[in-house]
Amino acid sequence: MNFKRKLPIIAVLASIMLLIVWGGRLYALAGRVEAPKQAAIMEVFYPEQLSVNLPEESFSPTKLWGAAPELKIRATPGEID
Amino acid sequence: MVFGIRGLEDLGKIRISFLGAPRYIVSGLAGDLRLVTKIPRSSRWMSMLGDDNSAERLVPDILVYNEEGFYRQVDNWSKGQLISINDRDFVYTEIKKNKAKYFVLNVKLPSDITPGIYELLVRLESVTFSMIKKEITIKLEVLPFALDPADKYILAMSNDFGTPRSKYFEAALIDQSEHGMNATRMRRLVNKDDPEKYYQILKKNGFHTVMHDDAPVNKDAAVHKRYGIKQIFYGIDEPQPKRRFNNSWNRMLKHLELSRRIHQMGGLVGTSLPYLFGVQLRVPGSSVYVKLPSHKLKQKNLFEPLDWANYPLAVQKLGIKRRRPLNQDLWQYIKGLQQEYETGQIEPNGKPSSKHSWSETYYLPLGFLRYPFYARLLYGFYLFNSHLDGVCAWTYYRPKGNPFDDSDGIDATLAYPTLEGAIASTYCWEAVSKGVNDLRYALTAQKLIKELKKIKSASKSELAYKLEKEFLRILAPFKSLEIRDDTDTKRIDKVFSNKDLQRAREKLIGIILKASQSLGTALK
Repeated sequence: MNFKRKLPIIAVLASIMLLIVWGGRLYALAGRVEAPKQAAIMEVFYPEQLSVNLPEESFSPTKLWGAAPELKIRATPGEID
Repeated sequence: MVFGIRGLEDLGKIRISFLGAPRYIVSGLAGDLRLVTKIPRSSRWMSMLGDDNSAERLVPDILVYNEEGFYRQVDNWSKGQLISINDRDFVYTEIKKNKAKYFVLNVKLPSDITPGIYELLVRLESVTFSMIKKEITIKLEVLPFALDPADKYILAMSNDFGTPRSKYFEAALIDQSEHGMNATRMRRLVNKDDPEKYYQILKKNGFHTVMHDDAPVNKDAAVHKRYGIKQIFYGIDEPQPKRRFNNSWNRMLKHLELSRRIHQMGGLVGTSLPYLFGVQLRVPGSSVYVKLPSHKLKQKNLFEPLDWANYPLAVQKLGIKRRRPLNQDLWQYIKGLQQEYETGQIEPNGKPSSKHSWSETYYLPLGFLRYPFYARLLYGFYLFNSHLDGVCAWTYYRPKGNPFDDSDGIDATLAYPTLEGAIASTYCWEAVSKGVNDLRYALTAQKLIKELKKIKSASKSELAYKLEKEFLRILAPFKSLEIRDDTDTKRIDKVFSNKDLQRAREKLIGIILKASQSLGTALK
């Protein structure tokens, strides 16, 4: 088979490939395909206070990741906090 | 600051490091990140706190970098061994699923840092699972004012390394100074010691007062101020009659004889004793003098008032019904001072009118220092509200046997000397330091309100009045260690927590910001 006769087949295959690639991209861009979410593996929190005679599980921590604010320090120049 | 990390999955062995902020953004900012260990401790001195009769309690204790390495040393501890705590750039620990670990991050801000918001980073990476990496952002807000130094107070935590040639003499002073202390105890210098050298070390580290354990050797050593440091000589510890000494007055007699010797050399005398005895020592012919064993009296007209009295707070029976604390007269005295302060009966030195002329501080049992809320409160807002001159507690490092095991004797330890020649801190020692900073915030607010009052302007006076009212309202919950309502009396820790102390500090910051903006003293 000469090249001229192969050309339509090549064009059809290339079009299909382009369609798959670009179609996939467009589909993802439209937000219909989401990257798999990484499950939360830890939480950071402020313990209200480390008191005596309390096993760690009975502290009532405030969750800081997610909707809660970040860890925060307020201090003055020269201060050790 | 303290934060916790809980594993929702097994995180394995982790390294967690404080990265801070890039140097081109802020230079000179130092951070120290450590893990809080928890050690079972005897509740002998803590059972005074009330309703729990368990023999031991889990106490947040020494702060370490390498958890595994620390417990290995504790498990293989041999007599006299010191713990090795190498300063590290990261904490090494393990976090299992559904378990939490607690970390203390101390940030030391340079005094020339520009006020504003900075972002600090902490990086966590698992050594066991390489894909677990996380950066935690901490927002640092540098406030536009500096804190009052609290120099008018005596802030002390005994000092078990106060022997001048102790390997830890300087390390302990540095550590105490970093935790806000400005007074310390010292043993006698011997002939070959150069006194100036030791006093310079005290001065360099910000100490203004030294309590000597031993009487002065001569008049030169007894002066009120030596090389710029105020000196007080300690008499006989707790000389009042006690059951374990058959209620004898012999110790009081010894104390008075020692006081006479020190006074004759020109020195100042202090000791720890209940409030009522401290007051009676100031009254010639009072029962303290009358009850002395007359057959042992070598000197007539013995009258030796104290220059500094350290009162027990007598909080042991706090909140226990039908067992009222013994020292009610001290509490009544403090209550009277508080009323005078609130109604403006204040002397030019800022103290309430009935405040005694001699230095008055208080001390507290070990159990309260092992309780972070009390450690912070009693060096902070309660001290401010008491109108006394300071705190001088007795626990720094007094272990019995293994310092991490109370089964061979109760260890009175708030800090630990390390093999490397430094002092390792504990969570409760950090709480004391936090308390001193609370006190400094209160003093700063008080000073600015006073300055506002001095300005002759209607709007400034109005603001000063408003802020003063707010200031008293913020500190009012911490005026008494017992909270009474119509039906019940509760210990303060049953009503308030560390969160309330932190909230009060935040509100004080609000007052300071308003006052300094109005005065035009806010830092830029």
